[in-house]
Formats: sequence, structure tokens, C-alpha cells
Amino acid sequence: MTKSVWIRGLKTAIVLAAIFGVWEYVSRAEMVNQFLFPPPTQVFTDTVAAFTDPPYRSGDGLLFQIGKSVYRAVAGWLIGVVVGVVFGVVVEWWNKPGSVAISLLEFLRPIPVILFLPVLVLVVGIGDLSRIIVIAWASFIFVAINTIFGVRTAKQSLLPDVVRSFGGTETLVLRRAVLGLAVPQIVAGARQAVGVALVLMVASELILSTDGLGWFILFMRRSLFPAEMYGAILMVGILGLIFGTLFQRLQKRILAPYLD
Amino acid sequence: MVGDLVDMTTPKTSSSPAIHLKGVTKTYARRGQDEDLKIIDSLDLSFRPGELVTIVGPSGCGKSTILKMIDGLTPLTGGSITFEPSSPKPRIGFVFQDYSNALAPWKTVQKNVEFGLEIEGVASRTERAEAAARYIEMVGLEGFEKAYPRELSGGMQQRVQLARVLAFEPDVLLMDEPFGSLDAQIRRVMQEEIRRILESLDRTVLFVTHDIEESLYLGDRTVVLDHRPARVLTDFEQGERTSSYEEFVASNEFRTRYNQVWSLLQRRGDHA
Repeated sequence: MTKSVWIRGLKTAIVLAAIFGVWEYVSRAEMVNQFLFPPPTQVFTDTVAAFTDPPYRSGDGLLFQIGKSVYRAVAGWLIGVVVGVVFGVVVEWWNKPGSVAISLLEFLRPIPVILFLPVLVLVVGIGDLSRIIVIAWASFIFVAINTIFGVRTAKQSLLPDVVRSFGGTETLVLRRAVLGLAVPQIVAGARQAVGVALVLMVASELILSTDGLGWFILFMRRSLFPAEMYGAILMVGILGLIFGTLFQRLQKRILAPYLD
Repeated sequence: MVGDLVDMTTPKTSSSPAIHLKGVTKTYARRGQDEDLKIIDSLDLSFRPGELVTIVGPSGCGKSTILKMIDGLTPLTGGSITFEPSSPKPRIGFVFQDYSNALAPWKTVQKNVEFGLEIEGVASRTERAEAAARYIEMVGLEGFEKAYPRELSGGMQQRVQLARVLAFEPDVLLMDEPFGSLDAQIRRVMQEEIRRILESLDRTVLFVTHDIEESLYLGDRTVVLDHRPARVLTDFEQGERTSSYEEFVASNEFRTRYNQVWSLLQRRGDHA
């Protein structure tokens, strides 16, 4: 186990070193425009400097922008998950129009939520709330659909009959059988939501924004600071890796009893 | 009715209630067909307190449906099912055939065995834990308290279900082909276990199976049901049995009974 993790880490490091090595060489040898494609060593030093001391005159550094973005992503995701689970359970358990709700969600799902952003900004302002709503909405759709399917499958399984057989009320059927059985499907929805929340985190900051990682990338491009721009883009990737790993750990813990 | 008539007047001593089925009918609506499918057609059947009755019949004859109706899991289309005495409401325990789906996958063996008590609202943790421990031991699962169902074999999962239902301390025990999904060897082991456990219980037990041998070996009384719609082909009691399984299946009594049941079921053009 630990050995294979080490080997995998080593392989990844070798591949990354090779990519950065080629990039460094291509840039330093002036095979491309060195200003537009600065070598990774420069990207690294400039980005680290920009953490607290950004190339623009006043304002907060890259660390602050990362903090802003992470706050929006986490808040939006959490709201989306909570509301999605509650909505999914209520719709499928009590009112039974789950199929209607699913059709509606499937209809809304492909509409890029980012289109709502300009309108949202008009309504709630340019700050955090508009981005959080966009992220929450997208997370909600994934979690709600999965919750509805999870509850539906659980309702048709044997465990609800077990609860009834022990004299349990329908409320107990929901609490003691259906919710537990729906957990893996709900977690699958939350996982899809992590991916979409990260994409929307950056995308929502590209439009009508004054801060955040997405704004920083855009601003560095416009201000002709390519090194900082690349650095910030790499930060998005690193954030994705961190959140993916964190969620995987959480998922492993929650689903441990369910999976082989 | 073929076979011996069962004397309903001499009750056994037991805290269990008698169960009376009168004119019980069950039909299912069939998709795209005007006529409903009749599973059970005005079935009359009574079970005495403390009786261990095996119900045998071909697959799909409605045996399981009868148990589910007694437990209130499936509504009756017609007729009535009554308990005598009717109050207090008898506690009914149900052992499902599909053990893997009858257990909560996210709960340990210990918590699964406590499940019935939890549903009933036994608030005291220690009380639940003590009951669970007692029955986990009875079904031979000591040492597996903290395991999850998926970590257990089919036979062990069925033991968990058995412990769960015993911990509930039911007045009536309904067992729906409990060993139907187990392989032959495990099934034999489980048959011995269940015989040992049920002998110590003195409760009304209805044990549904499609295995004639199993029904004869386990039952004090055996009811043979016909294919759809279910009706009683024969209903007989067997004498007190002290012999081992090997002796029993080699006995003339067993062979006579087996052939009788087999020919009845065969004559109906369906094999059990």
C-alpha cells in the first residue's frame, strides 16, 4: 500500500519534472517568445512573490484571491449539498412527483448557470453572494437528482419492509432505512458537485468581478504579467487536486461500511 | 382435502396466539390485462399456539404472500386474518429470504441485531446491547459483533437476521424460505441450528419452503399448497421426533411422506 503510493508519487514527479524541464528549455532557448511563455522557474518565483505582493499597485495578493475563491466554492457547494438533499428527500418521499422534479432538473441542468450571473449581479451585487449562488445552484442540481434516485431505489428495497415488520411507522422507515440506503448515491452527487463547483468558482470570477482567482488570472493577462497568470492557473489545478483528495478521504470514510 | 385432518381443539401451551385465516384471497392487477391474477383463492387455515408449521409448495404459489399478509406487509384482497387472543397485539418477527437486502449495510452486526429493538423504541442502550449479545451468541456469531454484513458469508448474514428477529422476542415467527438462497451444505448446518433454537422457543412458527425434505424434517406439522391459486393439498402432523437427520431421512415414515407430497405436487404438473 504505502510502497505503491511512493512509486506512484515518484512516477508523477518524474513526469512533471520532464514537462517542466522541456518547458524551461524551450523558453530559455528562445524557441518561443520568452515574454509570453516565461520559463517555469520564473513563473514560480513571480507567483510566490505575488502571494503577498501582487504586481498591481494596491490591493490584496494572490493568497487573498485564493482565499476568496475557496470560500465561495466551499460555501456554494455546502449550500447546494444541504438544499439538494433536503429537496430530493422531500420531493421523492412525500409528494411522489419525483419524476416531474427530475425532468425539470434535467431540463435546467444543461443551461449554463453562468448565464444567470450578470442578472444575479444586478440583483444581489458584485460581491461573494452572486458567485456563491451560481455554485450552489449547480451543486444543488447534481445532489438533488442523485438524492431522488437514491431515495427511490431505497423505497423499493427490502429494508423498509423490515422496519414495518418491526412495527415501525413510515417516518421510521424513512429515518432508519431509506436515508441510510440512499447515502452512497447522495455522496456520488456531492462528488459530481465538487467538480462543477471548482469549474464555476473560476468561471464565475471571469465575469463582472473585482477579486478571486479567476479575476486574478484575467487581470494578469490584461496587464501583461504572463508568469503570474500561469502561476494562478496552476494554483487552480492544485486546488482541484487538494479538494479531490479531501473529498475522496471523506467519501472513503462515509462509504466504508457499504463498499468492499 | 387430502391427508390427515388436523385437530384444532387441543391447544399447546404457549404464550403465542393462534392464527386463523378465513377465506383469504389475494389478487394482483396485471399490466395490460383485464383479468387480475389470482394468487390465493379463499384459503382457510388455522395455526395453533406454539406450533411449528412448515408450508411447502411450488415456487410462485403464494406461500410468501401468506406470510406477508399475516405480518400486515401486504393487504388482503378478501377474507380475514385474526389472532386469538387478539390483544395484546401479537409481536411478529419476519425472517426474509433475501438476507443481504434485509440487513442495513451501514450497520455492524451488533447494530443490525439491535435494529428491531431500535425500531420498537427501546431507548436503553445497555438493554439493547444485552439482548443483542445474548442472541448473537445463540446463533454463533460471537466475535463478529463489529463486522459489517458485506464482510460475512451468506449463511452468517442469515444468522444475523435470525438473531435480529429473536432479539425482538416475537410471539409469532414467520420465516420466508430463510435458507432458500444458501448452498446445500450451509443449508444443512442452518437447519440443525434452527431446529435447536426453535425447540427452545415454544412459539408459533410458520416456516415457508419449496424444499419437501426441509419441510418434513423441520415441521411438527406440514401444509402442502397447490400452485396458483394457492389451496391446501394436504395438511398433516408428524409424531414427536427424536431421531437425527440421517436417521430421519432414511426412515420409512419420511419416505412415505415424501412420496405422498411429491406425487401431490407432481400431479399438478409442477415440481416443488
